[in-house]
Amino acid sequence: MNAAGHDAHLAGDWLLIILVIIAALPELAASWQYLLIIGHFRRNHYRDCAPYFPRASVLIPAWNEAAVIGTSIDRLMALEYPGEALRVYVVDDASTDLTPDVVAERAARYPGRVFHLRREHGGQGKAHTLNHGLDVVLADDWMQVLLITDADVIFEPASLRTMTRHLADDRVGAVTAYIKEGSRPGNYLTRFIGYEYVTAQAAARRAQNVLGALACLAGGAQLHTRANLEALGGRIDTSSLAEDTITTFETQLGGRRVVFEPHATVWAEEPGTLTGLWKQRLRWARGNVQVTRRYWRLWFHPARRHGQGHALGGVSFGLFWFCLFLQPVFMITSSAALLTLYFSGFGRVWLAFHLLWIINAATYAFITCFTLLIDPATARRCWRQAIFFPGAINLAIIAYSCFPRLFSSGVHSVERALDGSPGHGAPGWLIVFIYAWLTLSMAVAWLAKAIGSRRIGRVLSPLLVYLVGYGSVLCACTFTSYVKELRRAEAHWEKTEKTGKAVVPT
Amino acid sequence: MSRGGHVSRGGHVNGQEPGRPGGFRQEIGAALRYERGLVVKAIAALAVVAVIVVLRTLYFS
Repeated sequence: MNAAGHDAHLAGDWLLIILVIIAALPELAASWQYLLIIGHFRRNHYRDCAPYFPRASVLIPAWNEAAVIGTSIDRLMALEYPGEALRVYVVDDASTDLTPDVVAERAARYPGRVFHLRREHGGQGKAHTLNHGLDVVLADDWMQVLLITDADVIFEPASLRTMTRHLADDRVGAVTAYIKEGSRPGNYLTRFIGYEYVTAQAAARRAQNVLGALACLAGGAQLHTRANLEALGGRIDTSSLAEDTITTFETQLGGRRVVFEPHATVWAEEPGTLTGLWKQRLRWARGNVQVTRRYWRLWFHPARRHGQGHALGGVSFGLFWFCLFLQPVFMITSSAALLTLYFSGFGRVWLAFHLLWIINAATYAFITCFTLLIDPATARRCWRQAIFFPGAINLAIIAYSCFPRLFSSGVHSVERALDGSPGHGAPGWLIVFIYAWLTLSMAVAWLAKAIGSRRIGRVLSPLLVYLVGYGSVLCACTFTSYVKELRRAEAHWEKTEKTGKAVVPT
Repeated sequence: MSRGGHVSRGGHVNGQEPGRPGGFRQEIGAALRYERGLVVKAIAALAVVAVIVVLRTLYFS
């Protein structure tokens, strides 16, 4: 090989090293997001709050929600909020179960406060159902603020008044609450979701408050001013699967602030099966692909902030968004680069791998500890899922890459057992497996979901989830969303089944 | 700019909240104390990472 060829080869190797290290970008971004939380004690909206009790309408889209809607209405009626300033509108999307009867009974029990709006032809999705309700509540001027929620969501007594305080500042267009997973007794999956919600809401949305840009108003607890709804055209976007995110972005693009109130807590029932979780998250992930495409001019344009009162174009916000959105790409790229370097005999491949996983290990330790401390009540219930969030195999790789000497005797024993020849490091098959694992983990997660509804899956799926990690399940789902969007697969609303297991823990 | 707890445009605005009369300031104070506590918790979490790094450097490198 001549000198030019050698240089090109070396440059190629270093490019691959960079691709390996880039896989640590989501971890570094997550750490940065968590560090931003520290700023929330100064950069919050509490100084502009005041006691404020506008006339509030609550809009609940409901399709076959007989198991949950009655309790949800009862809890809304028991809110610490002036009774004469609160009305509940249930938009019954042509339910075929006892939902109309339950709502009619509550309308009779709470006269003038609970209203039943019936759509005779439903099934078009949540946004259409909400728009039916919006037409009604915007038709007269009684409503000053509108709370959009889901039929299964249970509000803690103080939650609404805690949210309306922020609307005393008329720069604020919308407020969202902290949704917690409330299934009791629940199972391993709902506890994974419970932990995930601390990271994705209590932690991430505090950081977004600090940045001044919120990614998404939770669909189960979003409070809008009338002015904001009217500025949005009085309609919820129906062209996407991410109508909540689009509402959030449009509010901020219109110059109105969006605030996350971490001390307004509501409880929701989340999927208890992998199949149910997959449906829900695939819908969300496809929605995120649509949002990424729709706002492609917005990303990483910090200058757009000036005069518009939002930071959606900021570098940090873009980094957080794309690190989540592209995480499967980073994982596949990293695996491919590691394997290419390994098979091409590049000597420093182990070093790059080592660096990647030490970053992963430090991030894991920091985020897990901090998350458990942010919400101690959830931590007491979900600490096992917090530990196994990355999966048992990733934890083993973290331990192996951080403390290789601890494992050297064990690895050599395996090597001797396999081919009878002691070596000086991990055997080749183990190296290849470890390097490929980031990608393989998504495939195994997909397998766990594929067998989830079969008999064998009842035992095997939870084991596989603990093995590959809940994070890999979400990444596999995100990857599937790319494929579905690229193939322009039909997108239709699939409602998450609710059974009434959500309770407010005492 | 702010509705400031005085102007209601037909809504109910005053210094009191139902459920906990006079509790608005205490609740805001409690929320701010919780947010300040998160700073300490973040430092504690960073300390865990530091301990792991030190142990690794001293005993397992």
